[in-house]
Amino acid sequence: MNEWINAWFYPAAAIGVIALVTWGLRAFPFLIFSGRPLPPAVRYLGRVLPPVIMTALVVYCLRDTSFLQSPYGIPEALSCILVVVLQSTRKNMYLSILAGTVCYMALFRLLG
Amino acid sequence: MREFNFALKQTVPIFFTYLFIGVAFGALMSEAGYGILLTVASAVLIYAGSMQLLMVPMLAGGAPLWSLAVTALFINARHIFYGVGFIERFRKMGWRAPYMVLSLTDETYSLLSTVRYEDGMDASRAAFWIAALDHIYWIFGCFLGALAGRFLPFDLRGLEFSATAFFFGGRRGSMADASFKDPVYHGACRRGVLFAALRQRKLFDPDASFVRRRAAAFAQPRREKGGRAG
Repeated sequence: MNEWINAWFYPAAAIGVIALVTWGLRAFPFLIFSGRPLPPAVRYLGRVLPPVIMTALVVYCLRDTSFLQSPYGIPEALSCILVVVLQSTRKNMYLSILAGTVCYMALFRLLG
Repeated sequence: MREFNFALKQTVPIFFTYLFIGVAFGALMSEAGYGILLTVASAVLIYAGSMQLLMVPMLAGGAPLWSLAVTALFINARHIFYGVGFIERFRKMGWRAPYMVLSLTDETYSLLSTVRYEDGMDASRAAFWIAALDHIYWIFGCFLGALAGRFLPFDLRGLEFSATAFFFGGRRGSMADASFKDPVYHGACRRGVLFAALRQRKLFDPDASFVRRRAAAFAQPRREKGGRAG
């Protein structure tokens, strides 16, 4: 019985709890503004937030980069520069991401 | 069908990101002794990478349910903001709306905010396929990791950079948008970079007063510049 709880009931309950919290967060704005017209401030935020959030996500992705230990964040920095340069010259999202990722994976192995 | 093909094309970069993180999660779960059923259930129901990865050691350590709930609340709090821009669009999507709301991850959110639909396309259907395909990639990655994470013949390390490149590219891609010139954007970015810099303890340790001086130097001239620009 105890074994069954540890192997199945506890992890299943944990997954359920985490899923419910995550769903609640994702549904929050929809629940708050259900069935009434959007206030202008919210509409404004909806327009401004995407680039803010994407910038925050870039920072979030790079949060574990260490600049004081080898390889000193060089793979991250060079790959990001490559992405920016490709994106502004070729304007091809697939190319930027593919080249940036390949560059990172290579540098990560060469320097890391 | 046209919408499906469009969504397939748009979600290619996310496929690689989700494959890598999903495989990592699946492999962790199987190493911790949890079966494929629980791994796939997490992928389907939770569908949030960082939280799922964090969940594994917590599960293995027998963390109480309330502490898992609090962790999920903090890790995923950013999701509160994701729906704000989509309230009106999702409202028009009928039976698809609840699914769109619950499947709004970092990647799906970024893609839906920057994507330009082709003329004559059913935008609702295309958006639905983008959300659904991302979810399928995630489930597939987690499943693959649970099944064979430790036996994969190739080294996937570093593939997670595709997420960074995706967000970076998305940022640059819509750089021409008016919202990028908005003071709210610049303020938020400055604060984000500052916090990230402060979080990088290794960059500033061991002298704590140095952190404060750096922070002040970091914030001061930028605030002046922001005042002029805004």
